[in-house]
Amino acid sequence: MKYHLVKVGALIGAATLVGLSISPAAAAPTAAQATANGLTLAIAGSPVSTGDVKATNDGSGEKVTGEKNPPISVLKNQDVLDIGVIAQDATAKIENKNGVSRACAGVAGDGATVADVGESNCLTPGDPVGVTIANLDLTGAVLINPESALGGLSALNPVLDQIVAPITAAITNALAPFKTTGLTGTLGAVQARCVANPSSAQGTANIADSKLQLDLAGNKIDLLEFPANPDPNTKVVTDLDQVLDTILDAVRVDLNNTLNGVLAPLGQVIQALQQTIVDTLIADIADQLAPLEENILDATLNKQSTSQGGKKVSVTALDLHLLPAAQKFGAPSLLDLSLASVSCGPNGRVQGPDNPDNPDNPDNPDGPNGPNGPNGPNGPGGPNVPTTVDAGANADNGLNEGALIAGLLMLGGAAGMIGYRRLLAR
Amino acid sequence: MKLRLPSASALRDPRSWVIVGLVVVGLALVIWALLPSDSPVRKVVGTDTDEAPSAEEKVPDTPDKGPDEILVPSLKIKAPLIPIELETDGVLTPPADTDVVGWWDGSAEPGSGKGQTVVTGHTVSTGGGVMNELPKLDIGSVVQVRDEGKVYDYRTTGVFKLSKEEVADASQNLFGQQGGHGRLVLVTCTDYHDGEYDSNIIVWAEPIKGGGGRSDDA
Repeated sequence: MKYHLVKVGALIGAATLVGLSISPAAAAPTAAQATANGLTLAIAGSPVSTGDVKATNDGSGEKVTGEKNPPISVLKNQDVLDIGVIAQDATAKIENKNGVSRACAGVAGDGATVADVGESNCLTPGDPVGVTIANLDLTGAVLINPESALGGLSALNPVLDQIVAPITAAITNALAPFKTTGLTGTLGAVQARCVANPSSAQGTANIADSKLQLDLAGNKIDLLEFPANPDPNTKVVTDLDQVLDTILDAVRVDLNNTLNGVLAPLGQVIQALQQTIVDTLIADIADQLAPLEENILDATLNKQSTSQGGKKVSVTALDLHLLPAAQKFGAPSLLDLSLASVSCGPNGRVQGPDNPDNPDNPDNPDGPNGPNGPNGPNGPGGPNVPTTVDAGANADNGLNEGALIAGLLMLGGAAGMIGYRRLLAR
Repeated sequence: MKLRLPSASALRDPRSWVIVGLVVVGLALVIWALLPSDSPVRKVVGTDTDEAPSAEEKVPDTPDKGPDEILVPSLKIKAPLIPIELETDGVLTPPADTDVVGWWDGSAEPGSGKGQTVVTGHTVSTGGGVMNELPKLDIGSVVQVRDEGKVYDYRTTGVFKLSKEEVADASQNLFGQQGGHGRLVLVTCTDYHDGEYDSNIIVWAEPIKGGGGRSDDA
């Protein structure tokens, strides 16, 4: 008996779990949806975001959550971006039973103004957005790996083994100035838009007057000059050879200075050895710096991805990762920036404006509420609800033609009778 | 040229009075026909639509039945509501006066909590109809209905454009009285092409909690 009770209890529990797992599926399907985010920034793993605006519509009405024009204060105390205006908006409508969603997001400097979603632009540009990424610390992320940098020294004679420590320090010191290195630049209005219907989704991005520069120990290097209307998934190509050369030159000078002191007691004979050491170290460091060319800055303009068979699109106007290679060392990227991100779809159709699960839905033509059912317009009792609402009036030009014709006919008849009587009177 | 007054014998002639009658009635018809369509005289006397029966014809015997006034503050709509009947062929026609909104007398009265309150008003192709601006209504906008000294507040939850065929297909959902839970449904026409309206604008507005039947002077 006890066994049966346990068995029944287990069955009830299982049925409850199954029911709970099924119940979300019974909710009304989302016919239209869109999301917009003006800015998401993570500095060394610490996120700052303007939040999302989400619009959904299941056929019973549009629901929109989130702040459309968040105050700049949401960006907190970060000094990376000097932004004046943030716009993020989304809509989800039912148009002719089709779910149609739109989203728009963008940022601009002071003086910019915000437009409605669905307009050609979210923002009209104002001042450029200032970009300043100070303390670009290259040393801890990708540049220094003393063991491998010094690996070539092991082939040298044991005397040189004694100077491993000073040389390691020299390299570290040589790169120390780069701690003050920074990324600076300006961004014009940056924005992304998308629109989706039940069959497709499209997105665009616009970036105006934007460029980035890298400061390396006082040397400014143009990194990027963004195109205004980039094609989807435009990877920014940077001329990082200049960056590499600048760093290596600095290291070479510092190594020579250091070795001059360390190797001075060995006299002129050591000159060739010094050159060998420097060249070896530079070659090794260059290998260490090689990933810099690929990994110091990973920027994608008009980053787009589609899913759900092309019915959903996600667009980010500017997707930027600074020192993504740091992740190889278990650290977060120095900076991850998603500027103006939107997504639209996937959307569907609704069975009329009402929820298709509504019992009133006349999907079944012979059902109680179907067109042929007892309550339907073709049912035995004829229509009991309006099937046509004739609420449109054709504006005439102010004339009532029927009345005008009748009046003119009467006047004509009267004139005829008068004339006839005069004729008889003669 | 001298003005000749009719002689006494002429005035006794019945044919003279026929002529006078024709002139008077003919002139009246011509003057009336030449009045602008939005003239108060025209509006009081009759309809400016071809088929729409006059509002007076549609007022049921119980004049107190149904709500009295509808207000859509965001669209500056403030219009009297009068009951209208469903025609036998399933056509619901607003009052002929394009400044007046009709309440379908087969639909729920405001505040009933069941069914749907269906109201409809004209869109005029050149503007000026009471519901011309309805397509511009935003989700969340407030709509108010006055009925016997009470105000019923609604919040717009949906604005749909449906073709005439789609309206017919979904008529039970749109106007049926078995669901809705007191929803307010506003209807007008749109998509004017070649003298015909191809679509309807349907607005759904749900009763606002606490806004169901507060005193008019609240």
